[in-house]
Amino acid sequence: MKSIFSFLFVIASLCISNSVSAQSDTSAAKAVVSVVNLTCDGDMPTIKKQLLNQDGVESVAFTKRTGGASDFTILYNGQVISIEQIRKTIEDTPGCDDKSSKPYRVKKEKPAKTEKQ
Amino acid sequence: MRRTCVIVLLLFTGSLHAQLIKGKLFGESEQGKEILPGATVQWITEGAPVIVNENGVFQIPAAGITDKRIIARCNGYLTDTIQWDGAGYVSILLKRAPVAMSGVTVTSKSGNLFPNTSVVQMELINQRELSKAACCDLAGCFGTQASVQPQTTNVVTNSQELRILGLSGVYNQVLVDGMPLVQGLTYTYGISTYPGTAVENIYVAKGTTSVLQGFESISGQINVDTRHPDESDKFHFNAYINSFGEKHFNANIAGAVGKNKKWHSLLALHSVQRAARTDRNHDGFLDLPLLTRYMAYNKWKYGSEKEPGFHWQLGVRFVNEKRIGGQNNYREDNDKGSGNIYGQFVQYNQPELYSKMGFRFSEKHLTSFSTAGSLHQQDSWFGTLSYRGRQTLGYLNLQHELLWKQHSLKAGISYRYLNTTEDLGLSVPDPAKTYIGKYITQLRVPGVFAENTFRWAGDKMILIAGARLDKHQTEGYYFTPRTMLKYAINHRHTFRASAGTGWRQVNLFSEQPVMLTSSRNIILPATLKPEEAFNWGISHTWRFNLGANSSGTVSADFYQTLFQRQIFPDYDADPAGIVIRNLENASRSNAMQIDASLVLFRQLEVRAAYNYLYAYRKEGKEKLLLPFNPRNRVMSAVSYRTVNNRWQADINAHWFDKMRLPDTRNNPEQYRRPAESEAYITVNMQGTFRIKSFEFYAGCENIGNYLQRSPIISADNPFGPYFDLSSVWGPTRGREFYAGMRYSLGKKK
Repeated sequence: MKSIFSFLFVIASLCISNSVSAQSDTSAAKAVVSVVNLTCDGDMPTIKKQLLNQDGVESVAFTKRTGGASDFTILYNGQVISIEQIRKTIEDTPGCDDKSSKPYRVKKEKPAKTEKQ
Repeated sequence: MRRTCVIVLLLFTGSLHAQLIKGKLFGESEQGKEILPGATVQWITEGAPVIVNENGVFQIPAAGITDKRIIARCNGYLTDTIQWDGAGYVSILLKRAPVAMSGVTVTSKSGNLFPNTSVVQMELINQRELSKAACCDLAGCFGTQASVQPQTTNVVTNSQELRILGLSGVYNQVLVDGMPLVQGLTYTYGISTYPGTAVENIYVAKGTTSVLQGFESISGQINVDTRHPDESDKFHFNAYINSFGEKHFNANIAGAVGKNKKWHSLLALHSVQRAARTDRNHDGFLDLPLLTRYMAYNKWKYGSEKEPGFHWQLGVRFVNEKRIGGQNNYREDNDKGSGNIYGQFVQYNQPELYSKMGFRFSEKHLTSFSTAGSLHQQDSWFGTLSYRGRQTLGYLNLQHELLWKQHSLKAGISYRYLNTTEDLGLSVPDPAKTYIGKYITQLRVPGVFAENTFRWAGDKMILIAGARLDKHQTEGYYFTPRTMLKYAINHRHTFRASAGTGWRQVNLFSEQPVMLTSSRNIILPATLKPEEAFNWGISHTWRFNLGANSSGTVSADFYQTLFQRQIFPDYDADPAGIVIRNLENASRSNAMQIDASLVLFRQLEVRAAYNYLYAYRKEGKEKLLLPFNPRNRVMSAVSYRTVNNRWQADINAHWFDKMRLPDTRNNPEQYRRPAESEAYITVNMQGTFRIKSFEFYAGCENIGNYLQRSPIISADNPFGPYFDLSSVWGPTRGREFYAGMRYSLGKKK
């Protein structure tokens, strides 16, 4: 009986560890940030490109520019890059029109959360 | 027991945790680093390559891996091997590959590839491949592959065509940046007007191709991708001279334009200066024409079709060319149209313009509008025959692309316009030549088209199904369905199949220039109708790796072309004339190719190809082989470069089986030729030395000095009734040495 319990314990543990492990391997943090000072439709792809060139950033999607702002949804590996670094990357991105300027600003951060990709 | 359980649990947890590694792959760039979508990572000894996604991310399973080294590969970058330290995230940065002096990034693999991603059987000839020969013009860029066979159409002016599947060059479609600019009068000399230095890549597709570019392609498609303004060297210069004294000069200038650097521009200049008068076979005729050419090409690019918003690509080109051939003492200033000294003189101006603009609304919607136009003004003399050609060409195409699920649908409308006026005259009247006069050829073809690309099982199976409906101004509607299938069993084996129809309108004199040189009359008993054909084919490509730094490809394909209607110049029906007839179910071509290539340690490339061709025309129950098609053909090429890319040696050889030749049995004895040509071989060699920004190259074509004896029939009497240039099947120049220098100034930032 003891051995049966032990066997069941191992199986259950494996299942749990498997799911936990899988989650930690494939999950990513998700952040939605609103970027302002966008003046043309080329700004969003410029920021997206800059973000994707960073380690840990796994995907970037953005909404249509409205009133000079766009929401960026970013999936990232929190162990490799932080939300602060992401914000800095956005604000350090050279302007689409004038490469010498850094016009973009992160307006607000919506609470980051970790969820399964 | 509990302790055992915990240990087992930890072990399993650990192993499971390590089963999937996530990472990003970057390449060096001017800004630091950039992601490399489409690159691959792979364990060094096992497992399939994993493709890096569009965000630069890869995931690679690690379960059971014993040798923990990962190889990362990407064209244009040095392959790197990384020792995995057990971390769940891996970041890899690849260094740029050494830059060849031609200004082109040396790819990590052979330049001559069958791209795995292409749905049709396609061969890519990139700059690395083009650097293996002088590649003075497009016809000279196919020395290291077997799919395309350059063929001389008029030996005196050295006009050439590019044959695919053994069929005349008119049956494949030559596109420039995807635009059908080589057509009608521009076909005769058009392919020679693109120097290799203006070409980025050449894509050769065999058999049925997409309906998006039109209805013409029957045996295949050759798309010349000209240099990209945003990727080219800031400055590139090339000078070349051969042992005949012919000189070529090329210069490219590229850079970003405007305050915001959003526009990129490329200016390519090209000139050919005439050779010395040479007659090595002493037949009284020049071995090669005296060619003078000036070309200027300006290409502009704004934005990218992959990104939202507006993009535009614009090309403007002007060509001025003069070709003089014929008897050694022919002087164009005094002897044009002469009845005493035979010569051919061709001079033309050709301005052309194309534009491709589009707007990407989102990742799913893209609308694009393409337009192209050209003028061609040609004045020529073929002996006593004057030929004056004027052509206006126009092309419009409006297309929308929709991504739905994982598939994509492209649909649109198009319009083709061609107006050709050919005026033929004689300086010495000859009542027997009844074809003298003015010919006007028109093409007005509006059309609609749709093509869907279905993708299943993660792109393992891709099916392209398309059709177009076009209305010819006199012949009515033509329906052109085409389909292409690619199935990748795994990353090593890919099967392809294709089937479809094509049709085209004939431009007789520009496509058969040798007819104008004949002493025979040209007889047109009926109005020429468009040619129609059906083509199908299958292919298999096998890729394999030999260790970490060597790889190979073996490819085999078979294609069959069946003509429902074909225009055929019949030299046999009338000894004094060439009869041009519409033939129903006239000819058929069966073509097979086996191609094997090996790249060893990224330094040595070996390639061999075998072609079998059985192309015939039905005459009653008899099958007559089409002339100038060798039943068997073998090509082999070897290329070696040192590790530091400073020295490079290339050699290639081509063996041609016997070919059927036009029937000359009705000629007097001295003007007859055998029914078949000789089998022969040509060998070409080139050596290249690179130092800093310079590249010096020298080579020899036709090292064995093989020459076709007496290629011109009745060369001693060019105004006689048996003068004939249509029996040229082999080299007529003999051995040719050449040397050149290239200089490149940095990559554009």
